[in-house]
Amino acid sequence: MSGFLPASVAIRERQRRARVVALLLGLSYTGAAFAQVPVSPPVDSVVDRTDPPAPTPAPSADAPATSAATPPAVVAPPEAAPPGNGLAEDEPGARAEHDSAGNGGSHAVPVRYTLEAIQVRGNTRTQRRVVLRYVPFKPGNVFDVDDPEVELSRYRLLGTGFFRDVQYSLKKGSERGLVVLVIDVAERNTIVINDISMGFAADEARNGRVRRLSGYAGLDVAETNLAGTGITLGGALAFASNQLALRVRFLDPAFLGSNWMVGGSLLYNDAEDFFGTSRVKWIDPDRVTQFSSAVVDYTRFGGSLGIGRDLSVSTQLWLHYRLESLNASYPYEASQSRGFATEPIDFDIIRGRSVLSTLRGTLQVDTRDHPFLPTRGSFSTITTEVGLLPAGRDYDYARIDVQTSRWFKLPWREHVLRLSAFGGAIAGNAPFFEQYYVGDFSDFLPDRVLGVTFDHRYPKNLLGTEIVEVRYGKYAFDLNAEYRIPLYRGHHTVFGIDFFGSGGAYSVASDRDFTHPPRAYSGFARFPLDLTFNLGFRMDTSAGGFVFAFSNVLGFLPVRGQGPAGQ
Amino acid sequence: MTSRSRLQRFRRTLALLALVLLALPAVARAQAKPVQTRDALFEWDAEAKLLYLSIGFRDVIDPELQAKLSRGLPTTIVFTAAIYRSGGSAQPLSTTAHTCRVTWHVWEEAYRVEITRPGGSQVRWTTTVEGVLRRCAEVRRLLAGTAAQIPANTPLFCSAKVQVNPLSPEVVQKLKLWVLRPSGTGTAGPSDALFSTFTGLFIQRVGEAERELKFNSRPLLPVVVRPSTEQK
Repeated sequence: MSGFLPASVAIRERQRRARVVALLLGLSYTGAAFAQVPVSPPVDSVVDRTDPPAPTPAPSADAPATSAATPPAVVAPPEAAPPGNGLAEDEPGARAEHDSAGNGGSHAVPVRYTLEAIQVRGNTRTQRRVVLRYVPFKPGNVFDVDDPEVELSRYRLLGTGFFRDVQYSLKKGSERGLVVLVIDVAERNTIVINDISMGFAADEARNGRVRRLSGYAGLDVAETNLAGTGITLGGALAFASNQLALRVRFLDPAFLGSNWMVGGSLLYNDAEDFFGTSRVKWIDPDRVTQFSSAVVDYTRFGGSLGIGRDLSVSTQLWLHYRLESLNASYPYEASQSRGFATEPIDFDIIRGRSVLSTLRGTLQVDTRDHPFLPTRGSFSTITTEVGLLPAGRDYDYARIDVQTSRWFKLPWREHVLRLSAFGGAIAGNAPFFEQYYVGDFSDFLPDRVLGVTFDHRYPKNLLGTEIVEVRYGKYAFDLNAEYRIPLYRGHHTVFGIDFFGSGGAYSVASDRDFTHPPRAYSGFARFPLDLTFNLGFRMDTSAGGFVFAFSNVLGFLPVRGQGPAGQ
Repeated sequence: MTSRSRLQRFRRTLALLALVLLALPAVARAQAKPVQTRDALFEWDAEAKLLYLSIGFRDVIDPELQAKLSRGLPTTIVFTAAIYRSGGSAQPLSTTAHTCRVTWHVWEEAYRVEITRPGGSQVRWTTTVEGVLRRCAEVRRLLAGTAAQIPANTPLFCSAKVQVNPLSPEVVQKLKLWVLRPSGTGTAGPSDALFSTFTGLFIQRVGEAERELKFNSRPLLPVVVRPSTEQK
């Protein structure tokens, strides 16, 4: 509903304004005639000291109170031009107030100066050129105070995360008409925690014996403004019993002052993984043992280097080259019972030393309104990766992943619904850690952290399908929905807490699940499908975003679907 | 465990979950701030058959904001109000607005105040903060309704919102996208978990306005300021 004047009244207002203009032009004018205009007192032609006071606040010293019921005395409006040297002193200690009436005409005269210089203050660590990188104004430019770029560039500076506060102001330049743009910044701690992960896992000793529950933890920390250059240097660590993963990474968001981003990382993993679901036997070197899993012990060492560029405000393209040296050891022979049939276990990694070399391209479209607690918009990525020959002839594969999520703000109580879908396929001989892992889709199993798998368990198998025979696969899809209920919104330390519940269906499969499905399953059960659920809280804080989810704990409850057929 | 006891346990879990879900919005509601009430003046111009509203909200401009007024860049103060019949329906009878854009001219050493209110807009110049407050932190005889909208001799109240530097939804969206993805000229994008967390900090600040004040007026019968000839 519009609160502005009805058209008939607006016409009368224009007529009244015309009279005022006529007055300015020296034409006839009487107070009586003005009083007959049936509209509000002409605020644009009355000096404030005659206005009736507002009822709540105490009247100001220069605005003596008058009865609200008394029509205001009319004072001839002063000149329309901006105040200059000819201002009269009609306020104590101050100059007069000048009015200029108009229906938009006055707005057409912007306040503009010539920018003489830009001064950056408060940047003790951040280099001046890093600040100026975000400021689109240059000395010598005409500076329009109403230019939306002024405020936008301020938020851009805030968005870097380098500063707690950014304020723009103007001060006089060396000559009339020249101004200096002063940028006051308050730097903030730029060491941030990106990720903390903790949980319980059911893993095994290197000999394949099942252990009691063990803990795992991960931490990802970064300095986002290294030596004031705007470059990010980060490190991450994940560890569990017998497993360790390390990462170091950097990101230069404006490589050599250009619009190109350059990022890279170094990785080291000394980890193990667990293969086989039931009646696992392995020989190493000449002992035949039967435990719950055959364990692969492997190390990864290498890194990646990438360049990226924003194609638009919401679209980003990255290209990464990756080179890794792998060293794996695992039983000489291993078998498992897969649907009543004994089959060899394929570990999908070359024994001893091997080289992984890939090129990855990622296109990302992001229209979310918030990175951690979005309420609308979407986030979509398409990733393709190919093993490069001849440098990486050990693993020749191609992979494509498509993922999209969309958030909807519901019409009641700010609740939010997220729908997401994922589909991926791998062709060729990708190492197992590059394949799709059921724990990445099932909330009841711990996710991989820095590429390390902590848990040996098979999925819940709530639908009683062949999914229980699958650990890694070359095909995967996931359909998921999440419902979020905002509980708290704040402006200090904790910015938001939402309760969430999510659920979905996923599938992970390999070629042999289609060509040689396990004999123990028939009909619908031959399709490796499972359900997943989660409950918890999402917290957005000044230290980062945190998720407290219950599914990891729920995963240990002895409520599970059908186990492997051979068990 | 029998299937029956499993079912009972499942039902208990569901009931507990439902209780939690029902309780959470109540907790959220309990955290909402109560809207303050303040005095206003409604004037009924019986001759023009127009309703005017006068009310003050100087508290929205605290010393910090007063200091910012003289920084040379515009500060916008927007007052919007909906007029309701006291004890009536939840639908407002009418709405009104008053906007003020204050810019300190560094060379003229005066504030340029652009005021827009029903009927038109104007530009004023003042040299004092008091002059700005008088124009922008109070509304006097702001047209708030017509006879067609406001029934006669009815107690009224207004529900008002004052915003300092409000941002239009389009600008908010643009800002948020920029903040989310400043990598073109600045830093990592959201794919890098690196910045997603603390850029949220700024997005929280880029709300609807830099500062916001909401209040209601006490129910009041409008004062007739210009009795019509019939009433005389």
